[in-house]
Amino acid sequence: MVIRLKIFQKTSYALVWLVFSFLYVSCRDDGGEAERKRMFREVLVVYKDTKPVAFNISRELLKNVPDDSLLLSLSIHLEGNSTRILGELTPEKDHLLFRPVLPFTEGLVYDIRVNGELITTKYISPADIPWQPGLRSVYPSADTLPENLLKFYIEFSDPMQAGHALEQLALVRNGKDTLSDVFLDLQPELWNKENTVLTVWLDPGRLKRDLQPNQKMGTPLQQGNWYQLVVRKGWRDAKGNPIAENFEKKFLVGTRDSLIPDYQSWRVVSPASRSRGHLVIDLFEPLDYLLLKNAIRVVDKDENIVVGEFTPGKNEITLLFYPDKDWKAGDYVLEIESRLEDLAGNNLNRLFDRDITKKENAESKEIYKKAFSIK
Amino acid sequence: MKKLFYLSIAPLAILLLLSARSSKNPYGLKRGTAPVQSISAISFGPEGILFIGDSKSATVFAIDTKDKTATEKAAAVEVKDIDKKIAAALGTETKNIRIQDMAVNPLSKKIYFAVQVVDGTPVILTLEGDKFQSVDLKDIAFSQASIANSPGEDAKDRNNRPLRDQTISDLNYADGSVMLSGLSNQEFGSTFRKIAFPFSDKQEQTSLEIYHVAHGKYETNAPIRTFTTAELNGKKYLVASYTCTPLVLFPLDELKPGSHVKGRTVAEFGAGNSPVDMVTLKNKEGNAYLFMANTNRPVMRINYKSIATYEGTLTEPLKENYGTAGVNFVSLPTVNVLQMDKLDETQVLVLQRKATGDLDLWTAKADRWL
Repeated sequence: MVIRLKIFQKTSYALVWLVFSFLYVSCRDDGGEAERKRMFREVLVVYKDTKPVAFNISRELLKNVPDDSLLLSLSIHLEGNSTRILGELTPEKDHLLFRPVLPFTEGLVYDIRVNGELITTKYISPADIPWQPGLRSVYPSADTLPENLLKFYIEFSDPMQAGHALEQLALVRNGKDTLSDVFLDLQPELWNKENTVLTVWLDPGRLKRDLQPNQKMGTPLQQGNWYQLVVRKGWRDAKGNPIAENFEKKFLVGTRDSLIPDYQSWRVVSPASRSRGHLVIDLFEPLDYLLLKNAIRVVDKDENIVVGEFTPGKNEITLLFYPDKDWKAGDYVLEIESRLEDLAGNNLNRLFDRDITKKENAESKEIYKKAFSIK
Repeated sequence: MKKLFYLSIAPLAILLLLSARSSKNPYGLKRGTAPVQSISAISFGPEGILFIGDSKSATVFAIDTKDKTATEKAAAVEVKDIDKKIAAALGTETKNIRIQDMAVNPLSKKIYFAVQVVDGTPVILTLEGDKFQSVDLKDIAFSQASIANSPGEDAKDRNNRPLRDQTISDLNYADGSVMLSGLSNQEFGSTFRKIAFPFSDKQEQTSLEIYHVAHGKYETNAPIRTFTTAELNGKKYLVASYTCTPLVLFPLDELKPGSHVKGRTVAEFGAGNSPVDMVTLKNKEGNAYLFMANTNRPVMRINYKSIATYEGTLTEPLKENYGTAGVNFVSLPTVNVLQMDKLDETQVLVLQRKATGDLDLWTAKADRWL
């Protein structure tokens, strides 16, 4: 009968779980002694931040091996595989610590061998209660999107596995046709640092007029049609837990957006001074969700930054700014980086799809400014 | 035992240090643990320096591999089912890993792999014979340069604006600079940086907006997927390729800070495809050829002479679906090449998905490709 014991050891830095198993021999006179010996002859899994990062191998297992040949004799393998797993072996007082280059994989069995001979195996059991990662939101959030939409942001609750995103996504037209070749296949994929937000581009070659894919296949989205962006269940997070349910975003495709965002027409609604009220900026068209959060700042008349947070409002058609401190009366400026884009990738300096035979009158700047005041 | 060993090598080490004093640490490297968070691209610089493009921390690292014993000719390499073997050496399954990049040290001819793991652990492996070893990033000599902000942005930006996430699509070293192409996860556009190496505190970086003029009418600042440098008619050029496969030339001397450089499209190699890697080889007569691997097309061979003599720029949309135009090329009978690098002057290392579905590493003889 196999009994698994778990010992949880909490340190101030990381949760370290020691999981070990041993054979329990019952109905024997020397049962207690045998049990004690076997415990010390076992292999413990060392966990750090919930990852199985090392084996703690009892020296009892290796007692016939001379000390100076331990490092050469002992090897760890995938079950039945001849290749040694790369890692660092450190002799300690009563055990050896084997730390693989990569944490062990849950659900796999590992062989511990001495001079090629199997001594014992170790199963890395998956976490008992698998956490189910979820899809938080998809941007743009509006349900009518321009024909030349450039990208989607897909936000998850947890860090996700990278590398197979396009297998998990589908774009379906009018509820029946799953479209092919609509997304740009990029390796590495465009994740944020935390691997929680994925950027997916619709194929720019099909969006840019006159490029061959555009001429032959047309734009990925066509006006007047309904589409569903499907994020399939089974997409795994970094710990291997799958998303439980399909997610669908349904939207109608409207006209093409061929205009540079007009920041001058934005309407700024200011809160009163000596309050911590939020600033409301009416954009009059939906703009890029992440750039709204990152490409704008508020400065006072002495060019000091007003610290706070930008949060896009409903359908990214408004932008809210929450200051960290109370407003003081005076003149302020919104500094907008030219890289701010609308949903079609048109930024403040240029259209995404630009005809160079036409002269553009707009000057190119790094930062555009819009003044407002607090009374 | 260890102490004895250290004692015995100590005088030797001091001698070596003294003798190498003038050239000691010529690249300004410091000892420590390189805080690499992810590996998007790797490439070799001088004297065994390996550059690592880290998209997650928006940093380029230069690490001293100490792998600098010169070898003129490399032994041909063949490893079948390399993904299975790498997965076994890492104690995991093939579905959990992806070979992100491959680089050959031009000095030692040793092969390096950047492996992307689904849980995010960055791994660099070397291949010796049929054995993999991991490159430890702890206690090594390294330096780093941030690519998070372009130079010239005012200091206060650093206080209050989140750094941009950026993915590095290719990285190469030439003429004392690391060059890298990248793609932001926010705004669309081609970013290209040239960073002087050794890295300095001043960070002499050039950030460029690079355009290729598609069909003479529309300008695209699409991201460069792969690039190399070459000398054509006595002038140095950046030779770059993009998705949908135009080949574009940019004069290197025009790549100056803050500049917007327009490239000249000398070839269209077909839609529905992305270029993967480029290598340059010379035949016995000394004529250079460019070899380019692709996602959905075979490996292409392009004569540099044809590029040098092509004076025009492609201005007309292609008439035929998936057709090609401009400089001629020859398709080699080698498809589904995922990675490619020069093993030595006469051999090319190829990572290929075979028709059986197996992922094999093998060596192509240059004289059969030329």
